[in-house]
Amino acid sequence: MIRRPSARPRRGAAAVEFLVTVPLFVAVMLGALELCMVVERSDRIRRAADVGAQVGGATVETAPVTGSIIEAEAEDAAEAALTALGIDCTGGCTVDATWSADGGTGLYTVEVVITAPYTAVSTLDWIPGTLTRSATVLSASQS
Amino acid sequence: MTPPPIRHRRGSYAVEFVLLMPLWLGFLFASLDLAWLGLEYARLSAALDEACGEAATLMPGDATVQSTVASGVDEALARFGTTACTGCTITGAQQGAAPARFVACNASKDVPPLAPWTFPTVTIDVARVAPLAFQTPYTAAP
Repeated sequence: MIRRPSARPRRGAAAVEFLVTVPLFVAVMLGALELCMVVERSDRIRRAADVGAQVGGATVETAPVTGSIIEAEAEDAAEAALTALGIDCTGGCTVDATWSADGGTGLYTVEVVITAPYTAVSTLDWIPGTLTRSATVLSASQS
Repeated sequence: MTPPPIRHRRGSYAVEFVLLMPLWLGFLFASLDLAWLGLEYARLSAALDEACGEAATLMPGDATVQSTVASGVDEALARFGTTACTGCTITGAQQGAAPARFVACNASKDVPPLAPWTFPTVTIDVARVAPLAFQTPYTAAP
């Protein structure tokens, strides 16, 4: 038996489909744009952490070596790098450097952890309010 | 109620097509322009990355940082198969309390859209930092 297509009126169907699709499309576009911005900003923070860690890693303290000067040098450099990279720290960035022994290897490392606020352009809930990135390098031989 | 005859829909697809086509073409060209913008950004940031890395091999206090970054960007762009960065603003400077600890580099470029009616001219700004290769392992005063 051949079934005839429904003869119900289809007036307005295209408009309804359009109205359903457009918000979805716009949400996807905004999400992609927001994700790009998060990744880009995150990369800048990572670069600042890397500069701080490299600078701290090249610093040599006089005995007794406590790591406090190494950590201060690393934090200063990371903060300066954040500024140079145009990271807006309104709301408070935290820069934390740690000089520590690397297990039982006899080596020391400098780790810089940066947490910076991120204000989302869109109103998407899944965007994090803060971004945290870190970098670790080997410390220079201390005297 | 009697359903409307099929023949009443003749031409409605064509009308919908004509109404929606400009919209979809707009989306298409806007997407292409966005991709073009992304490509320009990627090229400039890769070029600045290389140039900043090159400038980071200079000694602390070297006076040629700015020119090294500028020429490095042009060389890198030439290798990428594009023309020199005309109309770009490129800066490079060593930073950090003496001795300098890293190089901060910036580049900005105006990118006009391929289809003028999609976007206005966009200025892309790229910033990079690179730790100096010759980090003086100095003894800091306790």
